[in-house]
Amino acid sequence: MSAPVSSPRLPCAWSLKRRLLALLLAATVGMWLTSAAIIYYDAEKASQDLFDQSLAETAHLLLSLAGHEYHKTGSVSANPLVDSANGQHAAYLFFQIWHRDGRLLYTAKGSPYAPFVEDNSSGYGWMDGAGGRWRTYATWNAAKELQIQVGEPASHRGAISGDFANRIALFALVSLPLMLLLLWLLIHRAIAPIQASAQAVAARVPGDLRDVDPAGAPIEVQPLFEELNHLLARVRSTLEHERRFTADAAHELRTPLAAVRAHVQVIGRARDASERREAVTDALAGVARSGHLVDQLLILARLDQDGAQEQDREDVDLNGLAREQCAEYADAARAKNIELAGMGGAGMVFGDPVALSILLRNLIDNAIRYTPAGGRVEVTIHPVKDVLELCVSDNGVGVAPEQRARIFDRFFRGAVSEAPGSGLGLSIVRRIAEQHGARVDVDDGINGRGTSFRVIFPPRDRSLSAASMSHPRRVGS
Amino acid sequence: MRILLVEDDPLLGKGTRLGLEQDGLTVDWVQDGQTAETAALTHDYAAVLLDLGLPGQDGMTLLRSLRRRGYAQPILIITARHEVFDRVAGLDAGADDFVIKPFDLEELGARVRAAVRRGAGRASDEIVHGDIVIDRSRRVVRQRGRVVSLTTREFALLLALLARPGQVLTRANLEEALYGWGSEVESNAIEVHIHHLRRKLGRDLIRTVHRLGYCVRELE
Repeated sequence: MSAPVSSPRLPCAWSLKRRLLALLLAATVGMWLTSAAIIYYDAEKASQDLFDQSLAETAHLLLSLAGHEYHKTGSVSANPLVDSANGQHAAYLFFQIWHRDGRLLYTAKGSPYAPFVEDNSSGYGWMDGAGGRWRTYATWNAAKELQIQVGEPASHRGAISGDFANRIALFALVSLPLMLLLLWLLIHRAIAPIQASAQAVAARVPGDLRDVDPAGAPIEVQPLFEELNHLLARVRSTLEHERRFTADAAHELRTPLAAVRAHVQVIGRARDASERREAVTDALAGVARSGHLVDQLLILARLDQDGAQEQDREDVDLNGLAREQCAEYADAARAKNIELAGMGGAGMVFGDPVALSILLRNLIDNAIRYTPAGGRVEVTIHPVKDVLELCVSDNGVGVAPEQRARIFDRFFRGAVSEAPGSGLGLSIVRRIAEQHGARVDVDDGINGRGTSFRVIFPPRDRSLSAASMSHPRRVGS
Repeated sequence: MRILLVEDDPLLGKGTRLGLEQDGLTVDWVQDGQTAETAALTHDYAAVLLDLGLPGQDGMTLLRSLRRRGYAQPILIITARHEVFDRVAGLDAGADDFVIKPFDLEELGARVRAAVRRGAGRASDEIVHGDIVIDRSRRVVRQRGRVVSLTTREFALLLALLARPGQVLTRANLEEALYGWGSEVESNAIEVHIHHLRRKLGRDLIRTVHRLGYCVRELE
């Protein structure tokens, strides 16, 4: 089963904005939580110390008051103590005054009767009292006669630190959405140039292949733009090439079509039967030429498809192919009184036999076309050092040296011919040669007259690498 | 009327020549630029039909070269390229008209006649000479309103003579106007055609100038 083709996003696609937002938010919240915890811990510890200090101070104050009264009256009454206690600590401070001999001299209103501290020790401690944990403090007067035990429920302290924590949390709650908004805006702004470029590309009409303007995009994505622009440049040149080729092909077809039309009109206005007969023959010849041109265009179009021919490679007996093609053209040569001779020994190349047949056919056809009656065309195949040389020579009209570089151009015509070809034959020859890693040389023909085309095939191992180098296959297609 | 056809394609060249000949024109056909230039400069053509895509010297070069040498006859371009750019370039280089492949032979003939007519400074395709009215486009000759049936050669001969009333044209002049290269001309062909024309249009129209040739009387 294949994946749905129309899926708008690849499974691995992700949003840079969302990921950035999530990461930044997680980092910020994490940092913030850590610092809040540290601050809360420190604040809690500092306030505990303060509370403890205040508890101890109260205890000393109460003890000195109680000691003073005890020495005067022999007992401890409530009044001054309650006043003193009520002043600051109201209902959440509890204390007991104990005598050295174990008597409970006084207990503040609401305080339990059991001692807060089990032994007679001094200092801070914890106890389980009414409403949870209590913080306690005990101390003796200077004469070691009276002990005060002070207790304060921890819930009172918790309320204060809880209040503090609440305020921190409230700040967080208010600042979190603000921070989210701020981060989103910042990320949006940072990514905007990339998105603008993407939208500019998306908004283009299909034919618009201008370079993408990378101005304003961050340097991190510049390589992407560069590659995109390289690709666009390649597409542009391919399309331009195709466009020109299509236009040329259409124009080339106009000439045989014009000939057909002219002859058909001549038939319609013929003055006698022989004129009519000849025009019919010529009109049919025009149709045949159009057909040949279309065939050649199709061959060239097929050759232009990258990689299409590589799986058809095999060991090919070039000599056998040449013999076949010479036999094919024997009649055409005889009709023009041209001597068509094939010579050569074994010639094995690794390639596409169909394409190589087309190459041979085009070279032989070309030679016969541009050789006048009574001429000679030779097809030879022989090894030269480690390469194989296929040579098609004639003693025909030849090609001027200054035109030799151009004769492989599509639709180039160098000379007048009684039966012009498609103008594509040599383009096809060169294309097939290239695909086989071979080179095509043009030179003078037989005895310095006419033309010779030499196709030089490299040794097999090099022909493979040369061919694959001249047509790098697309990766992943 | 004799014209020069420059077309490298054998099939199209042959068809065009035949078609124009059926229209009563005399056509010399050459296949390359150099021959065309020599032919144009050494013969008296009413017009030149020029294909742009020629091997060797291309049509545009030939066109410019001819115009530079002061060649004043109408030149019509035959081309497969029909973009405005190509047409503008051709017209600017001195072409009088453009014919796009594949063309209609009737239209091609009409355009050649029109170009020749304009070149000769005439607005109409009609030639009037006394009581004879010639419609060149339809190749109809009337005398006092009566249609006179002429063969292609007779028609061409009549046009050649009427083109220069009062001027004596030799037999060679007339043969060149009537026959393209390579046509075999019977030694007495012109005399025969003149004889037929006199029979059909009256003895007084064409005067024989002893030892020189023929001429049509100039009208006052």
